[in-house]
Parts: sequence; structure tokens; C-alpha cells
Amino acid sequence: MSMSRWLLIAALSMGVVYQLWASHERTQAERGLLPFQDTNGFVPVQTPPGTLPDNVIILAALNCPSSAAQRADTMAKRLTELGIPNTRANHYSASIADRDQLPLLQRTSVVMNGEIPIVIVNGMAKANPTVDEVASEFRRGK
Amino acid sequence: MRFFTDFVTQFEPHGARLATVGGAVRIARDDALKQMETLSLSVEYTPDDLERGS
Repeated sequence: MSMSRWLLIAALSMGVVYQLWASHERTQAERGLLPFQDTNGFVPVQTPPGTLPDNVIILAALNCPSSAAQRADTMAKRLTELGIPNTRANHYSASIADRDQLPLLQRTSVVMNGEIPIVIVNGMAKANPTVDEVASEFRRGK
Repeated sequence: MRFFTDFVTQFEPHGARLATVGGAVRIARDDALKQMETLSLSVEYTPDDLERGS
């Protein structure tokens, strides 16, 4: 077998190993969210100051035809029909000034790296929830 | 990553560089973290990201 073929096999193998490792890391990170999930599967996240209460934030790329963006747009429309205030956005920022808040920022990062769309409701977030889950979370405690 | 996640510290000279791997925050130097004042997470979703959710 030629050297170039061996190199190709080695490169492909490394790619597969990397993908498996990244998948493992992602699974481990998501498993770490489980103790913090509420009944709808939402977890507390760090929110920027000035975040409007009782307003659902739906995060996904804007003006995009892919299925994930369409899910986000459909969710926004459905929530509006249900009378739930919502905002479509493609950017999210939050900061901490206290080291004790780092675990919260880490959990925020895990959720934000989840399946699109990411939805935030009153300081709680979930990756790719259903409209029913979002509506239930919005009404929770009311 | 197609998906842009950026952690910015005010204390990079102390080596407090953070990065995400599979969504989990990795801290390069914990001692540097003790000296930082603020840490920001900024996430932007672009059309390229959407393959993940499709």
C-alpha cells in the first residue's frame, strides 16, 4: 500500500477519533445539566442585565431557510398566537463578576451549544424545546 | 466550530484564557481565574450553524 494511502487512512482515523471524543464530551456536559432541569427540562442560565421578564427569547440564525431556523420562526409565530411575548434573536451575551457564578456560566455555555433553536424564558433555557414546553415554562409559577 | 462562542476576560495577561470544547468550558489556569474581575460569554448563531439543528 502506498504511503499516501496510509496517510489518508491515518488522517481519517484521527478525524473519527476526534468526532467520537467531541461527542463524548458533549454528552458528558449535557448530563451535567440534568440535576438543574425543572419539570419542562429548562435549566437556569446567566442572563444579561436589563433582560425583560416574561419575554421568551428564541435564538437561531435570522432570515435563514434551514429547518432549524424555520422551527424558530414557527415557534415565534405560535407563541405570539398564544399571547406569549417573544423575541427572535441570533446573539446572546452574559457576564459574571463573581467567581462563584462560573458554574452558572458554564451551564449557560452548554445550553447555548445545544440543538438550535435555544429558548430562554425568565432566566431558564433549553435547547430545541417544543412550543408546549415553552408555553408551560412561561406559565410556570403564575 | 461553525458556532461562535467566545469567552473574554479582562485579565488575559494572567493567562485566564477559556475556550469551549463540546460545549463545556475549559479553564486553562484556575489560579488566573481567581484574579479576574469579569468573564463574558458571547454566542452568535449564523446560518452555517444550522446544520447542527437540521
